[in-house]
Parts: sequence; structure tokens; C-alpha cells
Amino acid sequence: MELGFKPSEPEVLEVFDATRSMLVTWLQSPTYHLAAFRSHVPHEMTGETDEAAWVNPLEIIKRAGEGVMTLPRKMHGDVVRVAAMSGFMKMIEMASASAQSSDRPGLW
Amino acid sequence: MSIQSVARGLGRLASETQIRPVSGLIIVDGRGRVAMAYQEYANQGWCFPKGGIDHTETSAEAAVREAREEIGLEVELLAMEPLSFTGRAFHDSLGFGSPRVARSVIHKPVCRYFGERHEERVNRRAIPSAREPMTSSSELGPWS
Repeated sequence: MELGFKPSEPEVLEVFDATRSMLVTWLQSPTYHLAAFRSHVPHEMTGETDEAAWVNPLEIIKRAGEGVMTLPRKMHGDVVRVAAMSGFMKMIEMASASAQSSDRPGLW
Repeated sequence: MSIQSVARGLGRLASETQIRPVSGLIIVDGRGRVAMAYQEYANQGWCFPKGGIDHTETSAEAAVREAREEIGLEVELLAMEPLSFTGRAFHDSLGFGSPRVARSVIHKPVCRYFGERHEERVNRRAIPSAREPMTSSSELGPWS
């Protein structure tokens, strides 16, 4: 958007601070990419995650199929939606064939 | 353009649903397991690592970055059409739409990392960026 004038940095920050708490309705539009594991780099984490774990995809499918939305704590709706897609396990098998194996334990 | 017209534009933003493009990953290891992150923030629960797309990056670039930042994994994206769908709607601040702001408001100093305790050093991306201007959906353009 062209403003037609160049606001100063304090003006930009003032508008930003005044609007960042404005309540709006957001609609998530997720895109999920398939990826092969290469290595662990925990030092790259920025502190948004409480726990990271390897999970057996069959367990996700089983629980989703039974309407159990926990793993054992709450499972995000996107996970159930992706796991329910046809060809999900084929995707997993394909990615697994070109991925490194992690030596870390899984949840199951 | 006057400050009044800027205010009108902001009013329009508040009345319209804002699209939040998100990029995530299904990360698989050689034993056929998938990587998942548990996040209490925003009541996410167990999820595949994901996050907002910065306006300077593609969806694929965002995915690789999120793999490092959210779950501490180096990955290789596979040549396959990504899975896209419309997710849930929720109410939050306009500032939440800025991935950098979202990153700046949460910081867990300790997490359980694949069975081990891991201490975070500092949320490096959050500190200089907390006051960066937000990106509206109309400015983001194509995101796949």
C-alpha cells in the first residue's frame, strides 16, 4: 500500500503498537510439506515448544479413528486431518526410505 | 494519504477475516516415526511443527526454518505436492498475524527434547523483532 508520505520510525511504531492488540478473526491456512529427518539441532530452537517427540504414525491413525483426540495430551486438529488423508502412510514410507534414523526414543 | 484514511483502513482490517498462511512439516525418520511438538501456547497441544510465513520467504523456506526453531531438527524437504487446506478460525490480536510478534510473546526456557531435558539459551529472533510492523494478508501475496 502506498501511503503517499513517509512516516517517521516513531510514527510507524506508534501505529503498530496501537493496532497490534486489535482483535480480529484469523483463519489459518496451513500447508504441510513432507520432509526427511537429517540431524538433531536443539541449539536452533527458539523456545516455542514444551516437548518434542518421535511418534508412531499408526498410533495417530488408530487414535484418530477411535475419535481419541489425545496423545495422551490434546492432539491438534490438523494432525488428525492430515493422518486421515488417503495415502498418508505411503507418504511416511516414502519419506522414511530417504531419511536418517534418529537414535532418540519415541513416545511408543 | 491522511491519518484519517489510515485509520479507516485499519477499521476495515478489523472487520474482515484475516488469512494467516501457515507452513508446517511432516518430518519422518528412518524408522518411520513422525516428529511432533507439544505446545501449550494457544492451546495447540501435540502438533506437527508449523508457523506463520514471513513475508520475505516461501512456504518451503518457512517450513525448513520452523523445523529448526520449533523442534530442533535439520530436514530435507521431499519433492512432493504439499498438503493444503483451510484450518480453523480463531480470534486474536492483529499483532498475532505477524509471525515475528507471535514468536516474541512466548519463550520456554526449558523443554523436553526427544526424551532429554533441553535448556533454551535465548529466543534470538524475538528480541530485535518484537516491534517490527505486522504483515497483513493482502500484503503477503502467494504463499505456496
